[in-house]
Amino acid sequence: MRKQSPHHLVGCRICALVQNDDHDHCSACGARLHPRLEGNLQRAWAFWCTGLVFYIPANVLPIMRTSQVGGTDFNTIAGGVVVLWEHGSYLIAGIIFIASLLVPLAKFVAIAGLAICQQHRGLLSPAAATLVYRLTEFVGRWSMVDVFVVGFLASLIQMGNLMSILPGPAALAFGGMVVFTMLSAQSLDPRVFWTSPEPEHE
Amino acid sequence: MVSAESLPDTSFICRECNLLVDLSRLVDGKRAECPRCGCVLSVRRPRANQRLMVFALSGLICLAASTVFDFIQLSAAGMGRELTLPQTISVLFSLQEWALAAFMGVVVLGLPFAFLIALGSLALSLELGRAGPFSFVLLRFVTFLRMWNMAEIFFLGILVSMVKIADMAEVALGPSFWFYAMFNLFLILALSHVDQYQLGLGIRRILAAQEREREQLAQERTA
Ligand SMILES: [Zn+2]
Ligand SMILES: [Zn+2]
Repeated sequence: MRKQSPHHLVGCRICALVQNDDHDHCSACGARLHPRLEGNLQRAWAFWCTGLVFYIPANVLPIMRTSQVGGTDFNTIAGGVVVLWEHGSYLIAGIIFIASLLVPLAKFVAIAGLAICQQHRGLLSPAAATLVYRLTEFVGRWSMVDVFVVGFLASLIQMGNLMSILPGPAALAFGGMVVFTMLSAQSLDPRVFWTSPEPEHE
Repeated sequence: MVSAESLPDTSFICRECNLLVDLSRLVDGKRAECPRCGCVLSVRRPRANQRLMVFALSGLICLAASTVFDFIQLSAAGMGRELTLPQTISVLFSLQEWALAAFMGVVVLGLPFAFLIALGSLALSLELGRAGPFSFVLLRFVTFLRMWNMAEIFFLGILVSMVKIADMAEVALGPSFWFYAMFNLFLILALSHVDQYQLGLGIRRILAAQEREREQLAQERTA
């Protein structure tokens, strides 16, 4: 069992107090301590799979429904990027492409890779694994931008027959995907990469 | 084996690589990086609590102001439409997009309000040298809300939306938009000043001082 840190101490994630790792709750603030270094791999994989389940409808179903005099358009995320690109909004097309298509995919790969590294140490150097972890943590929330765009446009563009925009089912699926991948990344524990798999004896 | 009781209160364990470090030599204006994994352990800013109070209060004022005035005005083909920030959410409710409306309401207004109030009152109590069990509750709250904050992403979403509709309608920004932009600025400043170690240590030191005072009083009484 590799459950203890080499120095038998644990730092509270809330109040930062360093204490012996023989109890479950912080002696100062009462927050749960995390002395076990396995991370919470089962939780991470469960959220990962849930996120993947949301990922499919998020990309296949329309994220936005635009009704105009001429008829109704359904846009998927990828379709929206293409439309922006054709209009010449290359910067915005780039932002949406990166935030909505590239980042989620990269995040699934990164979290899966990190979870595998937590089980089989030595696949990545500790420094490299920590770098990937930090990037994953930082970048995750920004995928939400497309959901906000759809929500904001839907409330703004309500001009009756002239033009109105409604969110499609993919908006919620996409939001769910982002939340679940965030939860999955939070379940990983970067400390695992730095400790030796063998327990240290006193 | 080291025991926690023998360590100074400036001890800290890196949350990314579990290295035990002593931050007692961290002086004002400097930042401490982990010698092993390189992550930033703590940044000690001069008058950090005062700054936090200013950012939180300014952010709250701007956020409150951003709910009052017109946020955005839109005109297309002779039709005009103006919206306040709360209306961008209530319209979604009236379209029966409950989940999206609730999510936007929480992220755009609810979470930032709660975060800035909790952070501001924690900084104020530390500045006054007061602490109690409520301080840790506030700190936990701040930690949790910070993790899920997405206000600046919503702001990016507004900018993207405006580019998207630029060629179908004329868009004018109302005062609330600029208040929300300023709120974002203060929020980012406040977030960059939140330091788990400094805040935790601040609370624990005040509590330890209170404890010592109580013991002294008890000793005087028995003497
Ligand atoms: Zn604690
Ligand atoms: Zn470290």
